[in-house]
Amino acid sequence: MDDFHHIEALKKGSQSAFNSLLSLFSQKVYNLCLRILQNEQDAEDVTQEVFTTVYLSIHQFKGDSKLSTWIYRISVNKSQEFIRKKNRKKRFGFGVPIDKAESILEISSNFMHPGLELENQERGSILLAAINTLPENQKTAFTLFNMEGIPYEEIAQIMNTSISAVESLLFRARQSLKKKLADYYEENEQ
Amino acid sequence: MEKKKEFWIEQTLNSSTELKSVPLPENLRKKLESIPASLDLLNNRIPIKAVWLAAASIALLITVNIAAFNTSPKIESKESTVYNEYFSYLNQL
Repeated sequence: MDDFHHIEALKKGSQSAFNSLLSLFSQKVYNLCLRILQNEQDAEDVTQEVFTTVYLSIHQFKGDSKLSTWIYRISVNKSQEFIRKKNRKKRFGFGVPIDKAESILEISSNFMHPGLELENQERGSILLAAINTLPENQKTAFTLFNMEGIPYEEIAQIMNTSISAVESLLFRARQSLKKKLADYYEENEQ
Repeated sequence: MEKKKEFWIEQTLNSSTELKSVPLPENLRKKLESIPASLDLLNNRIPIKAVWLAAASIALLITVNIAAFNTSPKIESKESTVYNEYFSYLNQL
């Protein structure tokens, strides 16, 4: 079924069209949420939110972009919203000032991604912890490009920005990660 | 030493592409498949006609209250005119 017929069937509320949408995108959305949120339970919750939003607002989809791009955009927005809510709760709960927020993320990123192979687990966890300390947009762009393999043009559509802005975000993310990893290496690996 | 560090950083950065896709948990799959049924149930539980009827009733109630509020000073003024007439009659006696 092509995108057009699939969307039309979804708009009519067809359960089989929704099931085929799930078989196409549910694993991709779950993995994207897991990479951004770095927590399995949170990724499950956000994946549910994403598909509930897709089901309820499919009639608003005008076909300006690919269906996959639209679903990725919802996934990224929902994941970012979730992180913001979680960080607000943490700040409120512990009375931690905003400028110390980065260190909270560093502490809470002891996450062992289930997709990491045994020989890469230590290195992968260090990288994920470093990614977690990046600013929101850099983290999203880096995750979409380096982990999901999505091209610049589609990332720009997902993040509602220009291709040059995506290039800049990726460059700054890589530079920042290099510096963080160099600091880590000097402290731990020598 | 510097080369070793650079190599380690590059390898760590590249490990992001080695993350394997994780299969969807079975319980999550079931929850996702039940989304249309649960949302339709929610929509069908409160018929749209009933929602409109309730909204119209509330609007009517508000309108009646506003109308009543606006007319009440007029009654008061009528009452005060009657009193004034009565007192002026008494004064004349």
